[in-house]
Amino acid sequence: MILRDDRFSEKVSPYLRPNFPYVCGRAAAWGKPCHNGPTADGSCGGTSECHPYNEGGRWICRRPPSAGGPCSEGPLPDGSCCKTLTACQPRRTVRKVRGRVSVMVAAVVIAAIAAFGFDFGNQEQVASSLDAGPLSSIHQNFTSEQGCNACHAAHGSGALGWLEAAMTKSGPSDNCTNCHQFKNPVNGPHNSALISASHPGSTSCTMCHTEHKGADANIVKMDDAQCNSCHKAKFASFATNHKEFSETYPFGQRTAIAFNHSSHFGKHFKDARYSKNAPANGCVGCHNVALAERNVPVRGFDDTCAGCHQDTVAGREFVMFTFPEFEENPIDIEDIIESPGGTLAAAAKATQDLQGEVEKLAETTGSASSKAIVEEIKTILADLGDRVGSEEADEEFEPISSETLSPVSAELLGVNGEEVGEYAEATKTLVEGVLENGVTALAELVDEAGGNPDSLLRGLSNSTVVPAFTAWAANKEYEAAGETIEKGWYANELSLVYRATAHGDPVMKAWLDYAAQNGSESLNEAFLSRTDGAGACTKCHAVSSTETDKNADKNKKVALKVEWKSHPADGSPLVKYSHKPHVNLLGPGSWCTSCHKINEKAEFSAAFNQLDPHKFSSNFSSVKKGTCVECHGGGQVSQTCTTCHEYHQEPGFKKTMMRQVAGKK
Amino acid sequence: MTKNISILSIFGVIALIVVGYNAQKMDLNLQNSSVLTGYTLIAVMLCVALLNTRKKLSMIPLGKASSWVVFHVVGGLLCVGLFWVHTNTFWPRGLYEGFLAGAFYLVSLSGIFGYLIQRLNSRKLTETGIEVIYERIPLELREIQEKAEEYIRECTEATGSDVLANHYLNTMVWYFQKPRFYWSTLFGAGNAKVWFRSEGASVKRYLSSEELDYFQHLEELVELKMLVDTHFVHQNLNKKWLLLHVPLSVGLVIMALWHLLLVEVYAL
Amino acid sequence: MAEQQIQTQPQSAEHTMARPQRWAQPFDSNMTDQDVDRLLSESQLKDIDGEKFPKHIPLGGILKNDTRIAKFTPGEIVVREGDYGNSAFLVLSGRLRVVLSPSLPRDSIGRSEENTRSLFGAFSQLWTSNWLPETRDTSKYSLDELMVGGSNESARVVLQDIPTILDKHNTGAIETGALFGELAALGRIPRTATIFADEDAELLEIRWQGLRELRAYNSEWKRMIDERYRETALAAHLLESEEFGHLDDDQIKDVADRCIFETYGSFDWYTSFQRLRSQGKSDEPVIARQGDYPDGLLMVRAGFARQTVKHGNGIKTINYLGAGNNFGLHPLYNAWKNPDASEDLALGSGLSALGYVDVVRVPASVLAEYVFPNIEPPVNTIEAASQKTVAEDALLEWAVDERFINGRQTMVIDLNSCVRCDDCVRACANGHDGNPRFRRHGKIVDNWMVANACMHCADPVCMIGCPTGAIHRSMSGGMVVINDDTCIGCGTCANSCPYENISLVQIADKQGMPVVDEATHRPIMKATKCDLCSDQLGGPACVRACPHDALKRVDFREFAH
Repeated sequence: MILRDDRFSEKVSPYLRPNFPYVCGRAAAWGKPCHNGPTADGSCGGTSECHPYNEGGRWICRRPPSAGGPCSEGPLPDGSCCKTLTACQPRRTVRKVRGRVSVMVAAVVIAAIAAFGFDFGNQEQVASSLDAGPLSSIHQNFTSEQGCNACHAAHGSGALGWLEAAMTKSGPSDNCTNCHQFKNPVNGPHNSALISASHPGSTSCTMCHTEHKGADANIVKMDDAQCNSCHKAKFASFATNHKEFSETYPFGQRTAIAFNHSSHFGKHFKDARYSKNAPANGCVGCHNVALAERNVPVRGFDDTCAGCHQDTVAGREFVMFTFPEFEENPIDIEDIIESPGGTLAAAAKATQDLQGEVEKLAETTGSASSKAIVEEIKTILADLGDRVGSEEADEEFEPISSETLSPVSAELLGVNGEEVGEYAEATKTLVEGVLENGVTALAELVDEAGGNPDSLLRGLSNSTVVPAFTAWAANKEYEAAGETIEKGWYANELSLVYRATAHGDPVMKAWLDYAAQNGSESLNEAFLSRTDGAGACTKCHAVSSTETDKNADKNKKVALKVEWKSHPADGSPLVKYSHKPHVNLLGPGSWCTSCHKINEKAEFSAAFNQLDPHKFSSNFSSVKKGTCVECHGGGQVSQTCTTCHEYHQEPGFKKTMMRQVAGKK
Repeated sequence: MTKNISILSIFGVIALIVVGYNAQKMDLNLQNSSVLTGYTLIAVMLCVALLNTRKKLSMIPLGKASSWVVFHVVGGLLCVGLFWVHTNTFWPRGLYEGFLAGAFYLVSLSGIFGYLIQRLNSRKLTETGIEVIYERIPLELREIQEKAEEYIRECTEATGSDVLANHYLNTMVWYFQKPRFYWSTLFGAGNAKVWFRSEGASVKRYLSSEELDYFQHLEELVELKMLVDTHFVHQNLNKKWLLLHVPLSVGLVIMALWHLLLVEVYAL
Repeated sequence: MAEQQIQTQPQSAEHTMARPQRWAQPFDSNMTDQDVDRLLSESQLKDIDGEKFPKHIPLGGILKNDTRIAKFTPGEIVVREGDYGNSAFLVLSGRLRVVLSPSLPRDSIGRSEENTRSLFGAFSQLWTSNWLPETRDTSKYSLDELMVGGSNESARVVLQDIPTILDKHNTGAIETGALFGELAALGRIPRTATIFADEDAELLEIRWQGLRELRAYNSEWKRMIDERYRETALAAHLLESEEFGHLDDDQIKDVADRCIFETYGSFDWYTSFQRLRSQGKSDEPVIARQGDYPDGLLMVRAGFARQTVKHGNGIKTINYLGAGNNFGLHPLYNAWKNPDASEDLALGSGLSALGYVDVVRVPASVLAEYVFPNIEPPVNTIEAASQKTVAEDALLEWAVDERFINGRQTMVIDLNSCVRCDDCVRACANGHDGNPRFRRHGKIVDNWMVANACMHCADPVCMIGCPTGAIHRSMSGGMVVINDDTCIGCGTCANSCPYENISLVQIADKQGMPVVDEATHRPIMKATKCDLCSDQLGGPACVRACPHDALKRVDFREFAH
């Protein structure tokens, strides 16, 4: 056509119809297209080149000019065209093909989604069109059994369930607490009731934690900017915007152990007498950096203080009971003997039985030692007989003791130990009780006074108590038979005494705790006075009020506690700091002083003279922000909020999780 | 049109910045920015996909198609930006999302490719100096071949020599049958010319001066056919790239809607 | 034997109808033979010698088929200024009034609007459009109440408050026996004035085909038409011009009397153009020759003229003049200003007619009397135009050579942007029952292709030969449209169009069966072309559908510059 000069003529170039869905099949195969063109239904438009018309009885060719005009041969006599072609198979146009391919792609996509989206059988699916990506490996572990339903309630709920889920809020947040637990409120800021009260917005887990980001994805990431979105004080960085730490940071209260770093390092460790016992590596001699976390725990007493203070601790004792002075003989010994179950009588009877056995033994064996034992028993029986048979009732009473009742006993009995008139009756009852029931009477007494006899009277046996009380009831001083191992419970002369076996003696601690919780002033004087005996424990172990000053009622007796163990500084629950990386970084030992500098001027000891632990003066100068900024201020060392702060309070797991973990193993 | 694309691109960039900024703000406020970016993305995607519908509704005054194309181009590019803002990654982790992203990139790339080749091809076609309607190319080629055969017949009749006729039947007819040297023509390499010089014209030394005149005509036809071939390959590409772009778009839209449904059911 | 052969023709595959003929669709089917007899006794018509008419176009046939009798009541508008009309009017009785100046406001004359589709109507084409090419509802071809090309009687508007109009506007009376409207009918130009009935009036409306026959076969009508044509054209034209617009009626009349009215080229220039072009020759009547001394200002009233200067061995087109442009003012002014100077008095450029050109020659004496004292020295346009390089003028030269300057809505495609997607063609088909109305090929210059789509010419020569007036200017907007109902498929317009923009198509019925002549089984043809989507919403669909802004509809007069 471009070869023709008249190519634009309407006779040569009819309208082209690109909107038509088919093209001539001949043309598609690079043959010569016929001018009939395909029909709208895709069939060949005709096999003859023209439809001749009849004019005046003659058939005339009407092949259009675009196909070359009337042919020279002319129509056949029957009026049909002389030029016929075989029919072609028209092809679809590119547009039509495109439309069909689009429909096919749509069908394939829908079919694929359906095939991989719905579980037709129950077999493991290789792939799923519901798959949103791999879970973090930890979640993967715990959800593999339940599958998607572990988090997504709508999974597998059918069309209606999906419709409902699509219309409503159906995110997975609600299901997190199936495993995780936090301090309430779970959906409040920082899990803090306090913050929630003032900032009532509800939070949900998926705000920060999103899943399906891959097995190794960090799903707990939190940016400073996210903190800034709620917090009014906006932070560009720790170095520039964080406020100065509190004046005493990091110390919120005095230490549990009144260990004066200042005096020890300044004086004692330099003292030639003790220097060999001084910790070899400085700080880490006592502080166990291997366990460094937020706190660097102090090693036990035996590894530390014991080097110097071992002796002073063992041997501390306290007097449980002192047989006091009476104005008249309080106890009718006859009653005791004659009483059927009297201990003395029973003892006499038992001794006589024993004598008989031993005599028989002596006769049969004839050994010298057996005879000596028999003689001894005879002496005891004689003595018993003397005592049982003595009659002193009418004689002038000469009390053996001139002591007062020991404060502990007075406290237990609830009487004034100084006044004979007050304690005589109670003591008499006690002594009679002991004579009758042994230790049990003392246990009952302790129990009545609110103490726990199991711990307070641990190790106390009848064999210690009964002979002593018997002697005192007879208005005699008790002399323990044979040697006295003065550790633990023992009676001596007029007293029942407990002597600490070693540092950390449980009975001693129990008594101190008892005194701290229930004690009167006199008892406290005895146990918590930081002076002699048992009270000396509190020279090092701080005694603190269990209540803060503010809440303390002046008139009410304040419960105290003895701080046995070194405790971590109680900072904000949302602050975290770990010594470990810092220690590793700076090196052990004296490097601690990079941050913690001994403050020699601090009146450290004075703080232990009172009960409030928050009134204190640390051995160390407080750590200032600047100290941290020295490293956490530049570009390379992290200074994000989450470096030092936590979001959640008391995060943990439901107990059922532990069973799951156990089950897995 | 390029100017319009530039102007609208400014708005596209502004839109992207607005969405991105708001998304970041939502992220900072611990809200789910994926909802904003996702719905924006699918809305823009659907609007962009409406271009094809607009073409079918040419009888209704829906604005100029060129404006729609400008929007299509800018909106399509905006989609790529929104896609990245939405996914925060180049390639998502999930298997299904992987397919979705794959389809998205294929559609985007085929679109960019199509836009570029259309711009380049237009000029290449103009440079041929002739204009051929794609549907008529088979007819044109056939007519060129018929013309060539007419010359051959005339030549044989006039000179009584069948050298040129044999050469035509043995060698030249292959070239005239249909478009040849498709890729070479597409990339503008001159393989057809080389072929003609080395093989087509190899017969010249055996021709008489009279036959050479006919051969001259034949050479003109070969040159004309090269131009028609140029039209064929470029117009063909102009049409065929849509064969990738359009069906993939349909698939992409379906996949995106399924993704949207899943998100609404499982996560929102 | 022949009869049997006819029966073997597959009748079922075709749809037959009577072949349409000229006058198959009369202007007014209510015209009776009595009406014709009455008309022949009217004073204006009784002198016509019926013998001079050829046998197949008798005078009675013309009156019966190409005219109609229209009655108007006072205030009713007969023709509206600006409308395109294809008929002239002869006042049989009564008096009309023509509004000279100022023009009546548009709304008061009820400017008729084209019927466009409703939104739903446009939308419904989505499913009503047909895959089958060129189908027609053949039943409508047999109906009587067809809208025929020409004036639309249903759209009459009555002017309100005539005394005020007479008060505020210059009007003139048209008395019984006068002929008017032939200017627009024959010149294919818009009506120049609004005319309404002053009293009850009876008019003979003659469509231009009839007028053409009357003019061709009756010398008295020819003289009357030509004389009136010149007079009315001149007065209106002078008043419209920049130079003479300020003159009063008497002065205008004086100028008009002294002007010389000239016509160059033939009315049907396209035939010679096509013939000459096929021979590679050019025949452009010279209006003024470069180097001659001008004796008057040439004002182009209609048609196109090429302004040229000699350049090397040829002539170079520097401009072309259309209606409203004038030629030779600069040398005439120089001669008036400096009578003694010798330079710049001759014409610096020549003027030749492109097709049919109406020119008014205003003598230098008139200019000296009425114009030159009142104007600034005119700019020498030749100087500026000849500054341009040959390359810069190539597009203009080409457009003039190809006569594309005629186009007002020419479809040009920027091939550097066009991706050859055919969206324009599809959009066109969507608006025309599935049929494209243009062909996306055509002449190329540089990167511009002028596609084979109707250009809606300033001088639509296609309309000249149409025997039924099926091809006509639409009432408003001036689009050239074909009334499919009255088209007889003779192909005259398609042959007349110098740009090959009208296509004849073979029609089919709604089932796709070809419609053929019941007598010969020849296919029935219809002329089709771009109608600029005149019944569609939103203008030409092709322009809107182009995805790369490559396709434009342009007025070539602006485009070529």
